[in-house]
Amino acid sequence: MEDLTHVTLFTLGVALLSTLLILPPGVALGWLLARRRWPGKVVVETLVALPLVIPPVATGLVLLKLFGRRGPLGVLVQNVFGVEIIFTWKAVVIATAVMSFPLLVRSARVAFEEVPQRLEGVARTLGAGPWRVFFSISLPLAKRGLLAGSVLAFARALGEFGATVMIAGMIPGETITLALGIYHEVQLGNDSAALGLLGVSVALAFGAVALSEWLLRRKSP
Amino acid sequence: MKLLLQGVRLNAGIFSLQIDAELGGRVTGLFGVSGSGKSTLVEIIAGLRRPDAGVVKLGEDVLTDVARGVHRPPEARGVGFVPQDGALFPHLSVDGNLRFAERRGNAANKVFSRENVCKLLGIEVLLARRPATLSGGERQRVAIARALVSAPKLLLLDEPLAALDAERKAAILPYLQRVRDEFGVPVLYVSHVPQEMLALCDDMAVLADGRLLHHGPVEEVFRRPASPAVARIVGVETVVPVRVLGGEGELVAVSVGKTRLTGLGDQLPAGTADVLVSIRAEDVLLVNPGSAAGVSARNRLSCTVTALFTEGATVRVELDCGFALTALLTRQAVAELQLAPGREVMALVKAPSVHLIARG
Repeated sequence: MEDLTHVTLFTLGVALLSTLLILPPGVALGWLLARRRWPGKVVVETLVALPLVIPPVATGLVLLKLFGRRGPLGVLVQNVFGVEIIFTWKAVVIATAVMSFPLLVRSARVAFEEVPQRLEGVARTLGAGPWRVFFSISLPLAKRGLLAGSVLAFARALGEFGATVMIAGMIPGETITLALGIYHEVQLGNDSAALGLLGVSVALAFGAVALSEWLLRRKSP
Repeated sequence: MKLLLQGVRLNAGIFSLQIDAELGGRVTGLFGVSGSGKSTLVEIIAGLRRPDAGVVKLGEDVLTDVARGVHRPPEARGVGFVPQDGALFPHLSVDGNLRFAERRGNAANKVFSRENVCKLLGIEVLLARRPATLSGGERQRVAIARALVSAPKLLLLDEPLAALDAERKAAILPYLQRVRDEFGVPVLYVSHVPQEMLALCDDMAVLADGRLLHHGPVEEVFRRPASPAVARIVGVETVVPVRVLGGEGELVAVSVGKTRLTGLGDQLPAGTADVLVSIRAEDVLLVNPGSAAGVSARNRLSCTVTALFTEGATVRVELDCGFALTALLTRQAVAELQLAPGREVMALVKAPSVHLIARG
């Protein structure tokens, strides 16, 4: 039982941290995709969508090669911060962040596309610069879509398995999340423990999706 | 304040815009059917669209000069823009919308203060409301107020009345006239409704297929369209200032010099100044003098033909009946009546065809 609480809190914490981490770049990229034309846009679009379509384990392998002891990013982080990433809780955050990033970017893009451009244009003519228009018009009007997208990304992070297992392994008390835990317990033959984790996972996912739906359907202010 | 458009060009697919114009005056009308390029031109002036070539100057300020790479952003132009739907920010209250437009450096500007603008447009009671709860007319008044609060040097009104029904339109026109008279901001007023042009504008420019066909004083454009194309778009009308003598109910008697006319107008008290009468040329019927007995038309005017202009199948007949009146007849009719300069005829106009428009 103590284990279950620990795993649940760890999973929630990791999902929350990864969602907060991807929120600023996800919102910025969503806006850039919705509102600007720039060279390389198609390439970036494809890259961002990639984790959605290739097997999560494959994404995990890419991350492992990047953040491994001899991987370019792994070496960089080791040299600059003196920190090791793989097979620690940080690797779990990176895996969930990468896997849920596409969902957030897509939601953000749609949310910004739904803001009438006319309103942004008129705001400019009223004397507001691009930043003020973004923060006082675009962002508030896209708020619901952005919130719903964040909840979706959070839910995705809660259930992430394939990429996580590749770069974080399954270290009890260190990197085991709800999803990894279910697999781990079943492997050990502890079906009842696995069922407990399953119950918590379902409850959390249900709550997150319901929240996201509610945010999207709520009448505009 | 002069708005100069020099060689302004924009190509967008099959549509192309090419404009050379110098627009001045208090209120300039931009007239044209939908698809003529009015909105595109307005967006170029507001800085929301970049033309492919050309210069846009407001007074001495160069807003756009494509050849020299000048494109002042919309927020640095001082050009207020009110689109057809008002474009109020739905997440802000009316007051929030107005405050958004207040420029910090402008707080000292008494003329465009929120209090002044609200009072003039009669929206003080709406300040706490959300845009979604406003009626169409209220929304437009708030949108115009918001543009004014930003202390613009030029106000662009893009069909501000198009989404309103006739009653609401009539209710909002006086507010626009007050804006014109009280703030002294030059206005570029986009519309395709002749009555709005006559009620508000001093000058008008007629736009078709991205080209400017005619630009001049409103009365002149309606009376003497520069070409058959302009005549087709705006319709030929006699427009003259009149004095209101008085009326019974809907029927109003007015005088143009020594000539009396009976027309329809909404509650114009006797003595109302600055009233125009407009009579569409195709609503004027010509008969031989003396043969007008037993005719229902309220207005029977003796006149002399002064000139004839053949335009395709129709002939524009200029008449003198104490004021200059224009009639549009078929060539057959002209031949039958043997119309020629100097000929005396009787012009018949039904009262509902005599439109009275208050400008004050």
